[in-house]
Amino acid sequence: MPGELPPAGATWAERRRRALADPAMRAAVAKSTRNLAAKKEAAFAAYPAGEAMRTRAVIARRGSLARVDALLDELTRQIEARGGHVSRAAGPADVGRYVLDVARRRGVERVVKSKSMATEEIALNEQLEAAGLHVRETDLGEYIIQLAGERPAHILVPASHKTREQVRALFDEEAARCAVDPPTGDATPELTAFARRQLREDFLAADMGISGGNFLVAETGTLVLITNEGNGRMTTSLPRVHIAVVGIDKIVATWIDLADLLQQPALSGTGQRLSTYTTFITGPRREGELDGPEEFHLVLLDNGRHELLGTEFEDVLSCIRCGACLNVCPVFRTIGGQAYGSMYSGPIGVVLTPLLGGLDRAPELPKSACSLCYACGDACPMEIELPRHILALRRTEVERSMEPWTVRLTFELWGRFWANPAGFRFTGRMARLGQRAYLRDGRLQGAPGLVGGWTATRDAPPLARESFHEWWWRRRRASGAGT
Amino acid sequence: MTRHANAAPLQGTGGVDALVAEFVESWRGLEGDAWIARGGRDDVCHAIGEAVRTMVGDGGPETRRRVLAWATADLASLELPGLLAELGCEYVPWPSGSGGGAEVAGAEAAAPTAAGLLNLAAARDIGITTCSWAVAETGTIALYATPATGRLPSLLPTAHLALVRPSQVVKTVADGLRLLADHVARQDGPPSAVNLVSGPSRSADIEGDLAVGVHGPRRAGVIIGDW
Amino acid sequence: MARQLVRAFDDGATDGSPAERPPVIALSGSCAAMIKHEMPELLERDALQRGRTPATATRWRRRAEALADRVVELSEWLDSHAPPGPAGVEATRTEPGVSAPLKVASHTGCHMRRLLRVTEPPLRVLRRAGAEPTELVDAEQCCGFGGSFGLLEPDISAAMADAKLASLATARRDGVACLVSSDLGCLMQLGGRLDRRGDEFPMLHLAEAVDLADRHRLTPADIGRAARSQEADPDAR
Repeated sequence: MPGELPPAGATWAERRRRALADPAMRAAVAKSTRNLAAKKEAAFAAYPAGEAMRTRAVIARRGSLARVDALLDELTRQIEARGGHVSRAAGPADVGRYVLDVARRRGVERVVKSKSMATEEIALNEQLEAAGLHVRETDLGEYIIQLAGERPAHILVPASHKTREQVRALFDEEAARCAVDPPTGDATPELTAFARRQLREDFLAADMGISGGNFLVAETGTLVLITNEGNGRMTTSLPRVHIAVVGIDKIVATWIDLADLLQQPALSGTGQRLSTYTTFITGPRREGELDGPEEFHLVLLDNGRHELLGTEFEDVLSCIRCGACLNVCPVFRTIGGQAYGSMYSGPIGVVLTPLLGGLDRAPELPKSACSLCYACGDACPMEIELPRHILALRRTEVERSMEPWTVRLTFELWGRFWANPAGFRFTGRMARLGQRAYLRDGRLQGAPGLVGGWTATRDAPPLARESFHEWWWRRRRASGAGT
Repeated sequence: MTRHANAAPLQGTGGVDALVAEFVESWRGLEGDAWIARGGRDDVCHAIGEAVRTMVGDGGPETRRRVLAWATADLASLELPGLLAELGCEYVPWPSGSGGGAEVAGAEAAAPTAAGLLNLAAARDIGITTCSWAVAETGTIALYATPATGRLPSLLPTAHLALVRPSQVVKTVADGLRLLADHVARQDGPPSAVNLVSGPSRSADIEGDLAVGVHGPRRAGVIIGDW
Repeated sequence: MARQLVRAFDDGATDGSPAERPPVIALSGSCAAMIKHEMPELLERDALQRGRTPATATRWRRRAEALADRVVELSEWLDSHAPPGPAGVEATRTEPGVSAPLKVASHTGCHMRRLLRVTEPPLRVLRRAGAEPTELVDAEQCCGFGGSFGLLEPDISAAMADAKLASLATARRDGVACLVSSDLGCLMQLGGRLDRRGDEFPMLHLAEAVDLADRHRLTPADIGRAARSQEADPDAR
């Protein structure tokens, strides 16, 4: 069954226009991506063991995907044996229903959330808020964009498009709204101290914590959370109910597989050897424990993932959400994450958004958000063949006639004429004549149809007076033939 | 739980001292504090005093440093209640679910309700724990959640101090996970929670600038020694 | 178009070592990458889609592979066939009286970098030609040409070109005389953007740089003339 993603919000043309017209955002994105890409490179260079683990981790991931259903069954058995609850959700509405059901039963009013792309994918916050629950994002970056009412701009660092002045303004507004002291300045420690104070209150008052999950270990029914801030631990330890919403693709078979995978998100995402807090959760609190949630629920999200198994796109489900592809993508660096109109941006977003949400959801991404430079394929630690998939999606769009008729016609005619020497020469002669209308100062500054896209922002050299072939044959005739 | 073919934890070349040195270097590289106590129990106690003073700070002679510490059998020989009282700290033991909780003169009674316990822990300046193992290569300590070893002392107080025995330091994360596998085999399952902690809480969400102490402890310290 | 290309170079031989047949030199890293990495699969898939038999499709694949084996990108070929250069690094190919090698900026296109994995040969060829090539800051970032992307998304493509030209501006402050690249698409992209801004900084294809060096004319003045020339005939430039 295909999945469902929240709508893009604005047209591609509008998102692109807004992005290109925002120099502050573009500078922030360029700085952040350059920095993270360099950190990843430095981390692997200094740590050969990390690379050895990475290559084994790729095999472990592919292996798990080949046995997803059996592993999910084992996972479920293990969790239920320890008093946890497991539910399968086909799509967004199923998750919402389950969470609200638990919330009603347990008298939940206030929810804290730690970062979860899966919950963004299904717009869970909106569903909960519509039912009257108070939902607070506690990851610092997610908190910032929640205050701003925006979508995340990067898979790992969702507020990396914001300057500190912008963050301070948001915090000042929130302080006024809550009638508390605003940050004392816009230095990082001061802004952080404000967030820490505010969010602590939310943590201590929360009835339910909702988290995502980085991995699920089938062998023991263990949820793995990889975070740096501590909000992941707080969300899953303090409230009396913990619900984890995790994509079915996150499953691994054994702890031996996990050992190779565990350090990969940190190494490729931020250049750390291990994230600050790596947490293994197996069921709710045990008998005699005084902290930890009383109830543990795991909601396994499908939302179009199962359909990808057994297809050429299966490796896309190996994604560990590290953001390495975003950090090397020149288009992402130019337009930032929100222009993609999806919580999954950058190269992985170009592929995952249409695969989960359907090509109609985001037809522009494969052809307009990618210059096919192949940097993402090189960067992906899970060796996902992103460029290949982007090409395949482009091909599918052509096959389904999703191109505008002008583009289709241009390529068809072009192919027809250039498929034989006579046609090639003919178009050359015609173009040499026709270009005169567009020449200025010896450069081409305009062109008809699709080629006009080029001259919109660049000049082009005019076609030479004679083609190489004409020059070649003229020379040969002049020198009396020979070779 | 499947066991790796080589089930014995590797100590690397150079033995325990090399591992401890690597662990301390990694931990300090993550903005953690580290004290090495070579002289046994007395040295460890001395280091605890130093650590509490350094990590909680000095607000003057009237400073009451509020401590929440595990009260396991492992820690008994350190006599923390007395030691911390001497240092001018308010000591509260982690109330063990099986009716533990040392009664010591001057100690606050631990609140039994969940909310009470949360608020107590959140108001503490420093949490003191031991750990199950530590990883040299990544600067990591592993904390298992059990009735006597709660999650909150390493999470909510402003600072966290962990006591590590040199023999607990292994080289790689995989080595540590093997120890966890041993535990799982003995206990027929993993603890409800295992936390691998690598330094104080951090984030780079604001302009990519490193922020320390976001939600978890602002300062994370280790004392390596035998007692 | 791909079928026509394969036909054009097909000498009828279907076995025998490609080394025995003359190499096909590609003047653009992108083109070489396309032929070597995409064409065999493309033609096989295309044949099946046009209703040909699997045997025919496999034949197309083999023909494309035979061509792919013969294709070599220019700088790679020059690098592996270079005559021993003049002794030492004295740049005898620059103006008399000037002994320092000419500083040039070098740009390697994405497909050459990532599909062909050819990054050192252009630098070596340029050094042998008496130049001192340096790569740009953020060298691995795409210039924005991208084929159809450059036509469909002129604004994003131009913004990417501008980022690359900003790196070039840094190199220009260090005194580079021109930008050299083995990729015609990249040259058109960056040159076209500079032209639109009225900036006449010279861009050269590697072949042009080597040609000038061979004639002992790798000088700023000659470079400028060559870059602006519309003449196909090298003698007329």
